[in-house]
Amino acid sequence: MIYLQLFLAYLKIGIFGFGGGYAMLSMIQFEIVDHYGWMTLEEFTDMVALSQMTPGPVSINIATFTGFSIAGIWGSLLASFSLILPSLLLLTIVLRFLFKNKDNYIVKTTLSSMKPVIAGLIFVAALLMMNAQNFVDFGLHGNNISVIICALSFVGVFWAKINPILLIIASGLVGYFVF
Amino acid sequence: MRTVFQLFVTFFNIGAFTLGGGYAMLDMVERDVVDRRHWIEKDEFWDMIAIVQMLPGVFAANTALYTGYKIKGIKGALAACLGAIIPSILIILLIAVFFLDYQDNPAVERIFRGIRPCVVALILSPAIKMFINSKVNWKTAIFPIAAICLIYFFKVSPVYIIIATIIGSVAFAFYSQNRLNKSKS
Repeated sequence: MIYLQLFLAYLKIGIFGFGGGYAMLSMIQFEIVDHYGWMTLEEFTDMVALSQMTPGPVSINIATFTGFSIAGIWGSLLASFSLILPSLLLLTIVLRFLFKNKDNYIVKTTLSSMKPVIAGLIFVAALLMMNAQNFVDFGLHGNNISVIICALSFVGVFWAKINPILLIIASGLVGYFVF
Repeated sequence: MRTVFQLFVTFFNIGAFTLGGGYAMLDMVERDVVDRRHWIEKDEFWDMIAIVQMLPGVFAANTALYTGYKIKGIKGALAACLGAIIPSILIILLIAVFFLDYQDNPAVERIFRGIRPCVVALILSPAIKMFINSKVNWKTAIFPIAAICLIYFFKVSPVYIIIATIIGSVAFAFYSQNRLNKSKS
């Protein structure tokens, strides 16, 4: 039963996952944390962190990681496989259709109109992660180290273009000594 | 058969050594597939990438699938895609086994208390870049704001939001094409 649920959850994400790994994050979180309740949000956040630090596509990493913690080795393989299955099935049809129509006005306008909402999906994934579990000292005796970590990391990745892995390592170090 | 194996190896290397997911690997794919092996022309490669970017699913896996398919059909697609994801799966499994054992360790827990706020920032950044890139204005901002509220406050599944967005975007595309044609004639 759990295998079937895992298969359906990641199949859905594979079909509707427009906009790449980060946009998929809110869908994965919705299925895994909210809908099925397979893990807590902090466990999920930790897996996202580890998936960002390891090589390979982030969404495959997350699928493998969550699949493993939910249903072991077979769960991990099933989750990753279900995620790419829709792409595999659509391969020939979509390639032919889009190569012919890639400059088509309807195709282009449709895809560019979707972009703001996809940005919203990524944004909401970040928003949902801003909770008391992920910001442990928020509002407590005026320290708010976690808010400072978040703000500095944002400046680091957005403006200073610092490698995300370095930011994760630095934040981990701060956490080790402060919390 | 040799090409199929080479496709597997090429994408295995890319999957094993590129950090930061799909877009970070494009340079490496181009170098291998276009410059080194001469499997596809440069123009055709970037045309293909432009198409793959629009598709749902895992960008890196899609790039592997479509490149492999162009070069060697279904067999090539499967070989390239497996190559791209197998390193990920192996590495993550190794980490997962270790992590699930140690996640309750107090030191590990302290480290992750520091990491979690950083992860939030790492997701916020591509969201804002995408908002800028989508050329959203005050009128169209209502759609992402509505999507955010529906998911955040009303726990609506993002899948429904995407379905509604596809329908709305197609309708808008036809509507604006009509208007364009009318203003021309």
